[in-house]
Amino acid sequence: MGVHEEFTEYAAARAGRLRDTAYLMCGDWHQAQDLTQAALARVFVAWERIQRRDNVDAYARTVLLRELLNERRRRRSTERPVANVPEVAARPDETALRVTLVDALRRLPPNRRAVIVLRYWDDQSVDAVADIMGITAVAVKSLTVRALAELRSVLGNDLTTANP
Amino acid sequence: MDTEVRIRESLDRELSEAGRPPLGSIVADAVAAGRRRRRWRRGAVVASGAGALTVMVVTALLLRPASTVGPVPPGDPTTAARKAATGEAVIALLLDLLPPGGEVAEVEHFTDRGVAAGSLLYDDGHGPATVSAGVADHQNEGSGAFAGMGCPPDAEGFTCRHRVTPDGVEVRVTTMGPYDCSDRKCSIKDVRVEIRRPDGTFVTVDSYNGPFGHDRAATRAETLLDADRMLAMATDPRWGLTMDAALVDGAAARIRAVR
Repeated sequence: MGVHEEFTEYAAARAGRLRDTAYLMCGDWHQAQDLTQAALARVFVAWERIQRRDNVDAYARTVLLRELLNERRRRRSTERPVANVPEVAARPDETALRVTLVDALRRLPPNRRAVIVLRYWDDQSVDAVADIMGITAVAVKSLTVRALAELRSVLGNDLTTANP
Repeated sequence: MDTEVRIRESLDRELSEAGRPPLGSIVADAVAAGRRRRRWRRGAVVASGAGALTVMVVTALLLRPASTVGPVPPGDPTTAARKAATGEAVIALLLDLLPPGGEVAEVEHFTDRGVAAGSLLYDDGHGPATVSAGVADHQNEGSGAFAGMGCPPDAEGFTCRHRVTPDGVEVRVTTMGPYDCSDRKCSIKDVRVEIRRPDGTFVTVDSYNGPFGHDRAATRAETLLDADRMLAMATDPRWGLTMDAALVDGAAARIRAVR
């Protein structure tokens, strides 16, 4: 099997999962599609090198995250992440507002959102997330604790004891 | 139910209820985008309609005797009239920056919106080796890892060093290869110096230890240019999304002169 066929087979198998990851991180299918395509293009360019390192999935997640953060950086002049999630305990109609976990996730800064998605949805270990994000395991745990605390402030008892 | 399970179930439910659109041609589009990116990174021209012409041009170049190059006095980048950078202008400046006296062949160049790049085969008497260079805006920079994200971990056949100078210029030096395998192409080594200026202009210079391309092998142990020389080349103020108008206008003739 040639290099092109190997990449195509890999990309076809992983594109859906990568796009789901991107969607959970950005909350927009169109942007998720663009991010995934851009990330896969970078995987294509690096294919021969990363194949030998036997960590293609980790590389793909890393470039996906970088694409997301770069995109956020480009749009930063018009959009800013909310550092502290607003209190919602006094909402008059919780059901009508339907504050979901995804809504709460979207309010988190990108790094904290990525940690939650990678750890709890993509089932990555602390060490794996540290590699993907290029930070230490301690930083991953710290981000996780902060992110869970912010989610809990929105979702209240919907989240139980944190396991960072 | 613990936090981990609850979050996973909530996110799974969100995905299933959010109405995933079809993936469509995402893989084919990624391959196409990857190929464009690879061409830009390698400074090669193989694109669509230009591809056949390029093959003819390169073939013609290979059949011609190579000639020598030498330095041309640089213009003043702060006062000279400017024009949008072109692949030909990249080659012309590359010729000025290379050590004098070498033989040039296989000149290729590429111009697109926000990107100008070129590559050539240069023989300093110790065997031909590819040198390439390019300029790009922030939308076309060579790697997302460069955008303030530092370097990926070193691995077999790959090293990366990244720093930011006091005046805000990001500098990344990567080496790729040689790799521990018996294939001829595994002997190829590439040193790449990338500069990202505070205004977002991205300059890259690559030097190989042989001709880059399919089924080609190293002609020397080390790359033709060392990292210090490449850094000096990449930080030359004449690189830019716009370049000296005289350099741009005279580039074609300059390239013809070395063929």
